Amino acid sequence: MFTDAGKYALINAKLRARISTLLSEDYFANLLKCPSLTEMFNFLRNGPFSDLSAIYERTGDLKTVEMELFRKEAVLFIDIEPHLPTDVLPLTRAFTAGYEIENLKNALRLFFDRSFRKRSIEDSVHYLLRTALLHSIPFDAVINSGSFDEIVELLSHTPYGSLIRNEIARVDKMQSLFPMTVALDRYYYQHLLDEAVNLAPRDKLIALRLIGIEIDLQNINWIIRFRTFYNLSFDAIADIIIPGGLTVKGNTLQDVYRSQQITAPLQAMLRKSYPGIASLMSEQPQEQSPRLTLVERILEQIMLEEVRRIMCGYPFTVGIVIAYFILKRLEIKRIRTVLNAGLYHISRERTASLL
Amino acid sequence: MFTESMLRLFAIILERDAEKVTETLLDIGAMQFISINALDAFADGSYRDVSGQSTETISRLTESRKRIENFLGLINVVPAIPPSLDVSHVGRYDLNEENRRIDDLAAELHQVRERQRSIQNDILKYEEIQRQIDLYGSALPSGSVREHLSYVSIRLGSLPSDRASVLQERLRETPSVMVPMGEKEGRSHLIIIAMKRDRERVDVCLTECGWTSVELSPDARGEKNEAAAAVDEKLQHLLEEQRVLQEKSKAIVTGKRDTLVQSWIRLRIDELHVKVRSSFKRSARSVLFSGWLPADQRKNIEDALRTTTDGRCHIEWFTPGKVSDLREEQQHPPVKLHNPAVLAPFQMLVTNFGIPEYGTIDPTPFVVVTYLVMFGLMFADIGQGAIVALLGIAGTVWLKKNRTQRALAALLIWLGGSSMLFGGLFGSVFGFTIVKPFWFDFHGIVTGRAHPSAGIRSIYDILGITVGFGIVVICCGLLFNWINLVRKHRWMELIFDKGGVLGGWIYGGGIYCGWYMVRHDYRTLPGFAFLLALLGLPAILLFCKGPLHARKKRTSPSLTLLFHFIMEWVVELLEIFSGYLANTLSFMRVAGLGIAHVSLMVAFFTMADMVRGNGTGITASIMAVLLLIAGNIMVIALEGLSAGIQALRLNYYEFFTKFFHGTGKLFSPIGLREQ
Repeated sequence: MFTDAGKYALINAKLRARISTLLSEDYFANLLKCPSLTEMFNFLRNGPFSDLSAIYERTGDLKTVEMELFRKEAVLFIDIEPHLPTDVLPLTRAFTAGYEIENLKNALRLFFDRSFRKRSIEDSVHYLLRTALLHSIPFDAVINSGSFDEIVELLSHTPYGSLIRNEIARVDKMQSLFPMTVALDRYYYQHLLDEAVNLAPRDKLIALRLIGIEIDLQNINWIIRFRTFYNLSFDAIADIIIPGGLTVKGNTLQDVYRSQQITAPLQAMLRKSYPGIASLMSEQPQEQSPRLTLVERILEQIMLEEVRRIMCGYPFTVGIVIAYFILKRLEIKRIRTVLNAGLYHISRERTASLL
Repeated sequence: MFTESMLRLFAIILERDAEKVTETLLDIGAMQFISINALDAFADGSYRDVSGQSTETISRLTESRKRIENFLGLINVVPAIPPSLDVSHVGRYDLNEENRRIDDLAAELHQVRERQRSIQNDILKYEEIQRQIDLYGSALPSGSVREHLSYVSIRLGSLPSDRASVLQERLRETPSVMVPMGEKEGRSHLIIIAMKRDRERVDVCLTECGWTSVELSPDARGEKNEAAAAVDEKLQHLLEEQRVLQEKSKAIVTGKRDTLVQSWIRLRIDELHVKVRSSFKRSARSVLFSGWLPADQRKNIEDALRTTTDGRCHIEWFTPGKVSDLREEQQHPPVKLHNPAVLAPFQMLVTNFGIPEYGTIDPTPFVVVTYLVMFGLMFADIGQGAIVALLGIAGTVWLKKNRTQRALAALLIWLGGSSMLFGGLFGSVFGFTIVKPFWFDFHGIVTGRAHPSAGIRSIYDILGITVGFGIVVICCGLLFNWINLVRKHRWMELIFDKGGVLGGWIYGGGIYCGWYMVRHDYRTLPGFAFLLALLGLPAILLFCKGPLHARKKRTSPSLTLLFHFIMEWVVELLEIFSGYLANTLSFMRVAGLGIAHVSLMVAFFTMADMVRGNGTGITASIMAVLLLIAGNIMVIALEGLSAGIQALRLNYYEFFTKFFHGTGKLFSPIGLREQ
């Protein structure tokens, strides 16, 4: 116990202080009152996101601002690495790998659009994060490669090269990048689980719970997407489902696949563990996309509930580190949502419901 | 010494005077309004709102005002209502018209941003070309892997001279650079740099303009640098254009600055008007309002109201405590602290802890003394104090806009002064003892080189000073508590509370016993009769607290109740004895930090001596001086911060907890000049 205190005392205090400075609900309510994107950035000028305001004033380009938001999110753990206990570093690096993979997936999409679909990539090619996170990846070279084999060669020093090589045939056959992106995502979650398992017993339990919710969200996302857009059978989907989910596993996954009311199978289970959240289930949108949004919101609420438990519980665990990451990520997501709502003139009420 | 006395005004005026009265009250800005519904006599809701303007109106006004503030923030202007403004001369306005004007400004800025966005697109494209050239070179044929990876292409060729401008125009929409190489026989020779992916588009333009490619000779590769420079030039041009547009957006707001400020003033005044009038209620022809204000404003307000209404008003004044017609939550008057502006930093420290209860002691002037003495004892140095004070002065000059930061800067000036004063008392200048100490040689004591005949000779003496200081602070706290309780007529608490008379008696007895033991080499306690009188008697009297409470509440006696009394009594005694002992010894940290301060400086001096001793000549001396400078900087940063925090902690937890009830609510009047 004393070892835990020594290990986590400094980082815990540091992160709790940072958590206390996260933007409040009032701040977002006031930000939402700004009637235009320009005024939103005027408002942001006096807060912790003033650098975004400066970027917008310099460029007028929301995508550049979004890229900065992505960078901020990607380096969340890298910034605090010097203060983290060494045995937690593999886990936090596994989280950071998620952003590297996301960036790589974007580069692969650009490559695929350019060379397979012969589409112009002019508008997107500039918005890749070129900062090295964990590995030095030549993104420009990836985008401008002549074939997947060249990409595999370029990524040979990373764990992603072999993953891509294994999926080349399927991508060629399906003329779709999704087997490759799924393989990368599966690698990310598996890597997270592997690193979580190596933690101390108390840390392991907490990390697995939080990662489990992330996996739930990803699995549900895939089920809905693959059923609706790719018309895949459940057996086909079952092959790609990631094990290790917290609440959505086993028969529930089948229920989610078969049910027209996507939220119904989750309802009974949530009533037990998270009665406060079950009320969100009363909404039953018919369209797929709002349904997915609703499920995302529910799982997000579960995640926040877990974070609340961690914040009130025994303080010297990895929980506070992951909680900080989750809360900060949520804050950045909310900023991104509000700014996009400002760009597309989405109503205040609708935006508020998305936050 | 105490929070400022407040009075409650209840007034009735005629409806036709309501507008003028609102303006007068706003101009004076001394009143915190109470909802008329909070008065028992008017709680039935039979009185209507005056203006019919709802909270929705206020929020619309606030929203528009904040939009203007955000725009003005772009040019670092913080609007305020000028002190000399005559409200009656501020013209009326149409909120929709004001909003339209703000929307127009937003649209104008949006256009600039759109143009910026388009330029940014070009910048990103050229940056991409530049990055490619930097990383892989251009696609000038060389057969290397780098060339293969590049997706920038460079073409060398010529076209009829009169078509060069046409080509330039055609390529405007494509990220590309044209580098003129010279003219010969009516043909312009050019290098064209573009992205490989735009090849088809570029080829079409070139063909239309009569382009003839030229085979690249090995010599032509020398032009690569020129091409890269051309890309750089184009990029710089775009960045400059971007900068100009950024300035333009500021110029747009600057051009409308006066209009915006005027609009802001009108909106702010109307917002305040609506706020004030929303607390008015009216009957058929009269209007009622009520609110708290400082007692010294009574004549001012009364005269102003009578003048504004030509005497057509009824005014009543109520003193706090004697008011019975208010609902419970409104019965506590707001608290106004009354300190000179120069003490603002210390008032900030007090309000940061809490707002004192109305009518109790405002500890600000005492905090000035306790905080500065504690800081000075912990951080005594003339030179380091001067640096802290200079930092404070710089802060007050540079941080004019933020009130809190300005107060913190002013606090640094005070702390620097205290540090210098105590530095003089202990004879320390940047850790050197080059000044004769006025009081005692702190450095000498810590290093064991103090003069044997000096009054203060050892670290124990220093610890004794700080403990003595702590006793004085705690006694002051207890005294303030008794004064507060007497003023509030809380007699039971005055006698039986932990910080009451009995608690103080035990504390006094404890101090005497401690002093007696120290005087007798820690071997003897005072006699039994003394102990009984100083500690036993008050402890026994404290037992009466429970039964007296029970009697007051008419609780019937029982064995359980007796057990309850005994338990409470034992716990309270333990709390008093251990609490006061801990509180007093807590002040030893002042000596501890003072010793740490000296020790750190001594450590740096030793290190400097080692550096000087090992080297020869000027280099070693310079190194030693640099080391001492670094040491002083570190001590100022770390020790200064620790001393500030510890002094604050001692004030908050050892001093304030004895008497301070932070249950007050800060007086917040509505006025034109209030922030």
